[in-house]
Amino acid sequence: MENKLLLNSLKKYWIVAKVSWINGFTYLTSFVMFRVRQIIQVVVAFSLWEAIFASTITAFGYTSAQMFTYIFAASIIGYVVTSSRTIDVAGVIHSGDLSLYLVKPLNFFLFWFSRDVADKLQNVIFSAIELAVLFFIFHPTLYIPTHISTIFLTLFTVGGAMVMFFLINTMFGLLGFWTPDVWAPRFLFYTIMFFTAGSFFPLDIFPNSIVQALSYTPFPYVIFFPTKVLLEQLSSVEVVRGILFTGMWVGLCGLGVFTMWKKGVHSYEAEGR
Amino acid sequence: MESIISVQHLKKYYKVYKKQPGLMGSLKALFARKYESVQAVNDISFEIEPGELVGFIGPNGAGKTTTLKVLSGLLYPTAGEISVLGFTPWDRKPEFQKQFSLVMGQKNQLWWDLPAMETFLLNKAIYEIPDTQYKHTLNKLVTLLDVKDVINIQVRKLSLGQRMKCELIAALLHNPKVLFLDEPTIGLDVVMQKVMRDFVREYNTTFGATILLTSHYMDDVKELCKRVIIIDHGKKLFDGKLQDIIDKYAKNKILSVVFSKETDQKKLETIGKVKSFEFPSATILVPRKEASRLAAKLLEDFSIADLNIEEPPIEAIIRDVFQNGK
Amino acid sequence: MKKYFSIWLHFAKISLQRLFEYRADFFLWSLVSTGWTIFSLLFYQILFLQTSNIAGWNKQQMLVFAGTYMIIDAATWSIFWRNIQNYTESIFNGTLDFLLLQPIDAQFRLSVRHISFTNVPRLIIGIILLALNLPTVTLSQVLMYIALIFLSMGVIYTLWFFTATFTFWVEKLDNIIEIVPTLRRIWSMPSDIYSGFVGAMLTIIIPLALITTTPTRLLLHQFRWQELVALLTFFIVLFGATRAFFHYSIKKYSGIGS
Repeated sequence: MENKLLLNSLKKYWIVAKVSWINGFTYLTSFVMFRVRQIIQVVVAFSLWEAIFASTITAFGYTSAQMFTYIFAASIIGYVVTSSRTIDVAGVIHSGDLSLYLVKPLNFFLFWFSRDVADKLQNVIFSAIELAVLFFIFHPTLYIPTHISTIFLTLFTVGGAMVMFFLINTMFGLLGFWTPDVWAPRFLFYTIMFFTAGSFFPLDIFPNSIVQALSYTPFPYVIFFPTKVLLEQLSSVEVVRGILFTGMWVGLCGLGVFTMWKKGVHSYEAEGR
Repeated sequence: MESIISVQHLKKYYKVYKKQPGLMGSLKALFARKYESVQAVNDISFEIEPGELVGFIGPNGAGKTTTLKVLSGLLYPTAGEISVLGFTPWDRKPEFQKQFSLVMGQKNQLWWDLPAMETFLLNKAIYEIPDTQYKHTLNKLVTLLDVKDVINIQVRKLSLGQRMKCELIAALLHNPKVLFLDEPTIGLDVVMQKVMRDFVREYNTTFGATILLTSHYMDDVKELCKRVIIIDHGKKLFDGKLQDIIDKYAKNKILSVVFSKETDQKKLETIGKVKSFEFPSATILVPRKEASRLAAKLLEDFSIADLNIEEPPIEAIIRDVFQNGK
Repeated sequence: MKKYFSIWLHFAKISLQRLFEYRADFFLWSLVSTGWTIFSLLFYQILFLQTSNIAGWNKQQMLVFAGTYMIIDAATWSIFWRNIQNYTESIFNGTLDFLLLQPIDAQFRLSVRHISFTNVPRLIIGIILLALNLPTVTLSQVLMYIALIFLSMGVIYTLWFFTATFTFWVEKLDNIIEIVPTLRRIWSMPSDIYSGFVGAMLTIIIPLALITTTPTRLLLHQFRWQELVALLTFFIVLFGATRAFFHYSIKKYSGIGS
C-alpha cells in the first residue's frame, strides 16, 4: 500500500518530463538553430586539432585519437550534464509565478529536475545523430575504452556531474528571491565554466599549477573529469579523488540550495506581477 | 455547522525593500537595504461556512490579496490563528493542497506553447486525480464553459476569453472544496466579466464549493455575493449581508424627478442637494429618513410629471464606509 | 549619402551619451570582454608551446591573425549587436511599425541606431597586438587592409541581418541571431585548418573562413586575390539577397498587420 502511494506520487514527475519533452519540440526553428550551433563548435574544434596534429604526434600528452575522442565525448557529456531548463527558475520566482507552484502538491525541485531530464534526453539523442554525421565527415580514429568497468564508472561520474550542476544552477535560480538581476552572477559562472570545464579543449593543456588549482573548484567535474574517466587517462587515485570532490560539491551545493530555499520561501512576499 | 475557514486575529506585517535602479543598485541591494514596514493586515477575524460564496471588497492595498495568500499558505502570518479545511495553510501539506485551488487574475498556469489539454493532463497527475473522476469533471467543466473546440489548440493562439476559461478548468479539475479567487475579473472586458461571474455562481451551486473572492469591482460583489466582508487599511469594516450595508450605511436616498413645467434650480435646493439638473429631469440627494416627507413636499411645491425614490449606487455607499472607517 | 552619414553620427553621439549614464554597466562588460580577449591570447600561447606551427602559421603570424580577429570582432559587435537584437524584438513588440514610417531606408535605420562601447578595450588590444607583431608594411597596404576589414565587417553584418530577418517567419521570438556569434568560431582560426569537404565549403561556397584570414594575409605579404574574389562575390550576393528578403518580409508583415 505504501509503495503504491509513493509510486503514485512520483508518477507526476514522469508526466512533467513528458510534457516538457513535447514542449521542447514546439519550436522547430530555434531547435534546429541550436543544433547547428553545436555542430559548428565541434567542426571548428575538430579542424583545429586536426591541423595541430598534422605537425606533431602528441600534444599535451594526447595522441590524435585521444584528442578526437575527447572532443566527441566531452561534447555528448556536455549536453547530458549542462543542458537545463533551470535557468527559468529565477524568472518564475521574480515574477511571482512561484505562487502557482507553492499551492500545488508538487515538489519544486523534482519538478525542475524532471524538466531538465527531458531537456538532456533531447539534446543527447540529437547530438548523437550529429556526431555520427560528423564522424563520417572527419572519420577520425577514436580511442575505445579497454575495460567494461570504465563505462560504468563514466556513467557514475556523469551522474554525479549532472546532480552537481543541477544544484549549482538551482542556486543561481534561487537568487531570484533576493535580486531580479540574476543574469550577472550566472553569466560570470558560465563564462568561467566555458574555459574551465573542458568542453572545447581538455583542461590539461593548462600548466599543472592551474589544473591543480582548478581541481578545488567545481568546474572540472562538470565535463573534464567524467571525460577523462572515459578515456582511461586517470589513475585509480585520481579517479577516487575526483569522485570525492564531486561528492563534496554535491553536498555543499545541496546544503546551499536547502538553506536558500528555506530562507527565500520564508521571506517570499508572493508579490511581483 | 463547523466552519470550513476560520480566521482569528490575523495580522500580517511586511518589510518593503527599496532598491535603486541599474546595476549598481542591484549590487548595493545585495549588501545593505533600506526598508519600511507595512501593516498589510491588522487584526482581522471571520468564519466561513461550507458552501458560502463570500466577497472581500476593498480598495487597492487594503489587505484582501494578502489575506487570501495567508489562507492558501503562500504567506506566514505575523500573528493569528488560521485554519482552512482543518489544516494550517502554511504547512502546505499535500492533503491540504489537493482540496483547494487558488486562481489569481493575471497569473497563468497553462503552458504557453502547448494545447490546454496538456496542462490538464499534467494537473491530473499532480493532483493524483483518478481517471474516471478526471474525465467526468473535465467534461462537466468543458460543457459549462463551452470550450470543447479550443482545448486542443495551442494556448498562445487563443483569445483572452478562451484562455481564461481554460485557466479556470485547469484550476478546478481536482474538484476543490475551497476556491480562492483573487481579482478574477481584472483586465477582462464587460462580456468576459459576465461570463466569469456566471460561471462562479454556477460553480458554487453545481459543485457546492466554498468560494472566497477578492475584488475592487463592486459589480463582482453585487452579482455574486450575498455575504460581503469590507476591508480597508488591513482592518475589517463590515461583515454581513450586502443588503445590510445598504440599510446601515446608506445615509441618503435619491429622488429622481421629471418636471412638467420650467423650474428654478435654486428653489429645488431647498428640498435637498441637487446632484444633476437638466430640464426636464433632475436628481436630488436627500437624507434617508426624510425621503418620504421630502418626496411629498416635492409633489406639493413643484409641477412633477414623474417621481422615483431610489437607492444610491452601492459604490457610493461603500465609498462612504471607507471614508468613515478611517 | 551625406544625410545618412549625419544620421549615423547623431546616433553615435546619443550612444556615447548613454554610455556615461550607465557607467557601471560599461565597466563590467568591458571587463568581461577584456577578460575574454586575454584568455584567448593565453590559449594561443599554450597551443604554441606544443607545436611550432598550426596549419603553416607560426606564432608571430598567429598573433597578427589574432589581432585582426579582435579588431573585426570588436568593431562588428560594437556597431551592430544591439541593433540586430532590437530589430528582432521590434518585430514582435510592435515598434517596427513605427520605424517603418520614418522617411529613411528601413534597413539602415534598424542597423545603426545603437553603438556599444564595451568592446573598445578589445579593439585596442587587437591594434596593439598588430603593431607589435607586424612585419614591415607600406601605407598603401595598411589602407588596403582597412578596406578589407570593412569588407569582412560587411559580410558579418549582412549575414547577421539576413538571419535576423527570419524572425518575421517564425511564431516565437527566439535566439535565431545567436547563430552568428557562434559562427564566429569559424573565422577565429586561419582558414588553412579546414581541409577536404569542410574546407571547400568554408572557403569557396560560403567563404566564412576567409573573413579574418584574407585581411591578415595582406599584412603578411601572402595575399591571395582568389580569396578576395570569393569574399567580395559572397558579400555582393548575400547583400542583394538580404535586401530582397527584407523587403519581401516587410510586405508580408504589413499585409497581415502586427
